[in-house]
Amino acid sequence: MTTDVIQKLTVLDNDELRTKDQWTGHVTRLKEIVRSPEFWNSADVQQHLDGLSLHLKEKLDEFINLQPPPGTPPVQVLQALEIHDMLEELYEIIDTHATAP
Amino acid sequence: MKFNKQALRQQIRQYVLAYLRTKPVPIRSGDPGPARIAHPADRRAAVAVSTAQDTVINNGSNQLQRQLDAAIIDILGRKPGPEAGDFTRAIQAVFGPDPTGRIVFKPLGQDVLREAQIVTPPEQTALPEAQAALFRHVRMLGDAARSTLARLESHGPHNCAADLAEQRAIIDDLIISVVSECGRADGIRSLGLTASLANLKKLVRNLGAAMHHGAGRAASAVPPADRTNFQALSHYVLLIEQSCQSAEPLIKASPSSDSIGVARINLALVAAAKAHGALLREYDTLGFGRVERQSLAATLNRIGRRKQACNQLLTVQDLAGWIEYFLGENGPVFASYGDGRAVIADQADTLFSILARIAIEASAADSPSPLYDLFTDPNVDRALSTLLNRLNDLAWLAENNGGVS
Repeated sequence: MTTDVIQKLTVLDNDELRTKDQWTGHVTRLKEIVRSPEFWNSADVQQHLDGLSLHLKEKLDEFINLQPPPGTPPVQVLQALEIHDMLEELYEIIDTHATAP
Repeated sequence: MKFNKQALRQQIRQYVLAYLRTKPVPIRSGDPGPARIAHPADRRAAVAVSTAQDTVINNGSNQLQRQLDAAIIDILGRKPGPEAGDFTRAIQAVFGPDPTGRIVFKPLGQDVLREAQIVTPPEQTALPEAQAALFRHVRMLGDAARSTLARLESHGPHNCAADLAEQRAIIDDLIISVVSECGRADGIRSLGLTASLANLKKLVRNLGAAMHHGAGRAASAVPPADRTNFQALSHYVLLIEQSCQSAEPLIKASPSSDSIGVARINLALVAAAKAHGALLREYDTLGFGRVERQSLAATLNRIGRRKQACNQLLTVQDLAGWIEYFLGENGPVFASYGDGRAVIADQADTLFSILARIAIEASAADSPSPLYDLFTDPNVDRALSTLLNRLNDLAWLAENNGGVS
């Protein structure tokens, strides 16, 4: 079971995330993983969460630079906001599961 | 917590603000077309030459209404509520009698700080009897110490004289500070008094050392008058310290970091309300008054999927009403307790997100929004950016317990 989760996350690690559509697909697959009982029932759930957190941070930092260079197209900034919204939804799912009795 | 929503939100807000600081100047539409809100310049002209008297009256009254609202917010710090008596209560909150019965103005910002015990209310001059006695005693000792201090002279080279003069000035300030602290109408603050006394004692010791050093001699070689004056000064400082120690029951604990945090959030709410008022005034200046803001042409779209409340039709006026209600009514109520601050953070972030989308979309040259010309007006753009910055400040303060956590 644990191996399955790790495998799924590893596959997602290789996703190319340059466009909003790619992000949408990526986050949708992540949501499936964090909604699955095997993720939360695994003995290594904390390790999974740590790995997922690091993974998202790295991917988001790739997409969002804290100082967008002059000339960044507005559409890219709007997409960043939409990706941010998707991630908030993902975080909420994780929060809900993590705090469930 | 690994999945920190606040950190994520702060990251995206910083990103958006950084983009808005460097965004290209948008290209203004040459042909507004019937479906678009008129170019501001055309709009001004249209208002000026309009033969439709009611339109002019509408815009004029909207503008007057907005100016009146802005003036009321400036004075009262917020818009009074709609209930009967709200206005009277709001007036009474900022205008009250001083000890002589004269009506004086107490700005909201000062009021907020006073609640947090940060400033002394100027209108309260009657001290409790015990504190008044302490104040008189310390003031008398302080006056004596200052006149003694003024009589101290340097007998060393010029640089030592300058050094001594500087130290005397600092000590003089500290004595005044200790006396003022004892006379605070809202109570003596432990932290303020302890810090001032500790600095005073240390500087008096340093002054003694400087006098000996300046004279270049042993203590016995300092001129007798100076030695006497210095001993008197040290004695006065000791008496001041002992007086303050004996009045310990009068000294209250420092304001809690929580109350300072609440005060900061309240000030951030006031600052954001003012920035929002300025944005509405810019709308009015362009003839985009309350009626126009409520029209179908002023419907906002594409303002975020996460923001469930915004999936329905929302006009510019609806959004303005939401912001006004949040900053003027809900926010101050929620600021005072922990869960309420989370609500403020969430609301401020939501409003930031909506307004950011409007600002960014307006900056896109091919924006389909009929409000494009309105939001590309330089003054509206500037006012919107200011409001975004104020909302970001507010969200950050609410997320971080007023910046004291």
